[in-house]
Amino acid sequence: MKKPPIILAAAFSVVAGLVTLSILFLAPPAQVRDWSGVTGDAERGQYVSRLGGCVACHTLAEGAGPLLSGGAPIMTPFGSIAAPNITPDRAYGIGSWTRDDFAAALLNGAAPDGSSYYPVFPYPSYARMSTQDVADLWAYLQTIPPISTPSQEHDLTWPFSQRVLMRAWKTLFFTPVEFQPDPKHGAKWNRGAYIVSGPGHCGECHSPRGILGNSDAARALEGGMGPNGKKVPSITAQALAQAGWTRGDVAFALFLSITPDGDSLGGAMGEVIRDGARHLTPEDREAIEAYLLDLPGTDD
Amino acid sequence: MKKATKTIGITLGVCIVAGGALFGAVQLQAHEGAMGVTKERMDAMKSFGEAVGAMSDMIKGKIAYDGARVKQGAETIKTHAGEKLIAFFPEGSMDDHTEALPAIWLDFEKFSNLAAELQINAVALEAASESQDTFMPAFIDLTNTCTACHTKFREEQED
Ligand code: HEC
Ligand code: HEC
Ligand code: HEC
Repeated sequence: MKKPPIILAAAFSVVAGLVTLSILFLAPPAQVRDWSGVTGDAERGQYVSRLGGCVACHTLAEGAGPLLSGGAPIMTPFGSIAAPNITPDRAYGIGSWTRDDFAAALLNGAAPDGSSYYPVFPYPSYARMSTQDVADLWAYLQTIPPISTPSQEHDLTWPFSQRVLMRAWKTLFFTPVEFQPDPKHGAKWNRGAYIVSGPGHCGECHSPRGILGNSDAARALEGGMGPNGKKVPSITAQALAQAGWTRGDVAFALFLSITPDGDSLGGAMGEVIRDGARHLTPEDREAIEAYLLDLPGTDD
Repeated sequence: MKKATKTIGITLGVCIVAGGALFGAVQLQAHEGAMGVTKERMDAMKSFGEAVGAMSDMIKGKIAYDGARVKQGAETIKTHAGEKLIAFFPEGSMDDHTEALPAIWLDFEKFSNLAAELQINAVALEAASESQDTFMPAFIDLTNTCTACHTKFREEQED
C-alpha cells in the first residue's frame, strides 16, 4: 500500500516529537490503590474475566485453544500484535508475577520491568476497574492450567516497533483513575457505566480516537475504529434510538447477537458477545442497556 | 514542540477525515447498486433478517408468540440455506457493494458447513415452532449459526 508522502512526513515528525519527549523520560502516570482488606475470590474472578473479555484476545482459535495461553496476532494498521500467554506457567506465562505486577499491568499499563504496554491491550479502560475486581481476577488466573507455549512475537512496523514510544504515549494521553459512580444516577445505571467504561472496554472500539490513538472523553461511544482499523458504529443513546433500539433490544443483542431488525452482529462484535457479553448475568446486560440507552426509571 | 505536534496532528486529522468522507460516499451506494448473485444473496439474507426480527420481538414480548409465523420464517430460511446458500457465493463473487469477506473462499469448507448447519437448525426450528418453550432453544441454535458465519465471513457494518 502506498502512502501519500505528506502523511509519511507528518507521521515521521510526530514520531520524532514523541521520541524527543520519551527521551526526556517523564515518568508515565500511574495510580496507587489501597489493598487493605481486599482478598481475591477466584470464582468471582472467572466472571470478571468474562466482563473483561480476556479470552477473546488471549486464547487461540475462537476460544478453542488452551485457555488464555496466548491469542492469534491482532492485525492493526501498524502491524500485528499478539496477546501473550497469561496462564500461571513460570517460563512462558505470568507464573512468576506478584499481584502487584499484575495490578500494574492492568491498571497502569506497566510491565514488571517498567516498560509500557501497547494500548491494544485495553488497559486505558481496565485502569478504571475496582480494586476488588482486579484482586478477584488475579485469584482466578492462578487457578487455570499453566500452559508452556511461548507467546507469539509482535510484528510491528518501524517506528511502532519501538516500545519506548508507548511510554511517551502514556505520558501524553493516559489518565489512570478508578471509576467513580455518578451520584445523579442509581445503582443499575452506574453498574452499566462501570462495565462499559471499565472492564467491558466498549470505548476501545466504539469511541473515536485522535490521530495518535488518544480518546476524547466528551465524544465517548460516538463511533470509532476496531483494532483491525475498520469503522465501528456509534452506540450513544441518541444513535441507538435513531437506529430503532428501544428497551430490551440492547440486552437481547448482547445475549443473542441479534439487532432489532433481525440482523446478526458479527465481526469483532460477534467475538465480544461470544466470548464475553453472553456469559454475563442478565442483570449485568440490563445494566449495560440502562446506561447505553440512558433509560429513565433505572435510577433507583 | 507541543504546538508543532498539534499542527501536524490537525493536518493529518484533516487528511484522514477527507479520506473517510470519500470512503463514506462510496459506502453509501452499497446495497442499492448490487446486482446478480450478490443481489440475490442479499435479498435472501434480508428475508432471514425479517424472520429472525419478528421472532426476536416475540421473545422480547413486543408482539405475542405466533407459532405459525415462526414456522413460516423457519421455512424461508430452510429453503435458502444449505446448497442454495452456497450457490449464492461463487468463488470471488465480490463487488463494490458486498460485505462478504475473501475469507469465504480461503476456508470454503467451514463456510459450507455453516450454510448446511443453518439448514439443519431451520428444520429443527420448524419442528419446534408449536410452543414457545420448544421454540426458544431451537432459536438460540439457529441464531448462533447466523452469528458464527457473520463473525468469520462478513464485514462489519460501518454505522
Ligand atoms: C483487545 C485484546 C485484549 C484484551 C481484551 C485483553 N488483552 Fe491482555 N494483552 C493484549 C495484548 C496485545 C498484550 C500485549 C501488549 C504488549 O505487548 O505491549 C496484552 C498483555 C497482557 C498482559 C501482560 C502479559 C505479559 O506477559 O507481559 C496481561 C497480564 C494481560 N494482558 C492480561 C489481560 C487480562 C486479565 C484481560 C481481561 C481483563 C486482558 N488482558 C484482555 C490484548 C488484550
Ligand atoms: C473489538 C471491538 C469492539 C468492542 C470491544 C465492542 N464492540 Fe460493539 N461493535 C463492534 C463492531 C465492529 C460492531 C458492528 C458489528 C456488525 O455490524 O456486525 C459493533 C456493534 C455494536 C452494537 C450495535 C450497533 C448498531 O447500531 O448496530 C452495539 C449495541 C454494541 N456494539 C455494543 C457494545 C458494547 C455494550 C460493548 C462493550 C461491552 C461493545 N460493543 C464492545 C466492535 C466492538
Ligand atoms: C454461511 C454464512 C452465513 C450464514 C449462516 C448467515 N449469513 Fe447473513 N450474511 C452472510 C454474508 C457473507 C453476508 C454479506 C453478503 C454480501 O454483502 O454480499 C450476510 C449478510 C446478511 C444481512 C445483510 C443483508 C443486506 O445486504 O442487507 C442480513 C440481514 C443477514 N445476513 C442476516 C442473517 C441471519 C438472520 C442469519 C441466520 C438466520 C444469517 N444471516 C445467516 C453470511 C451468512
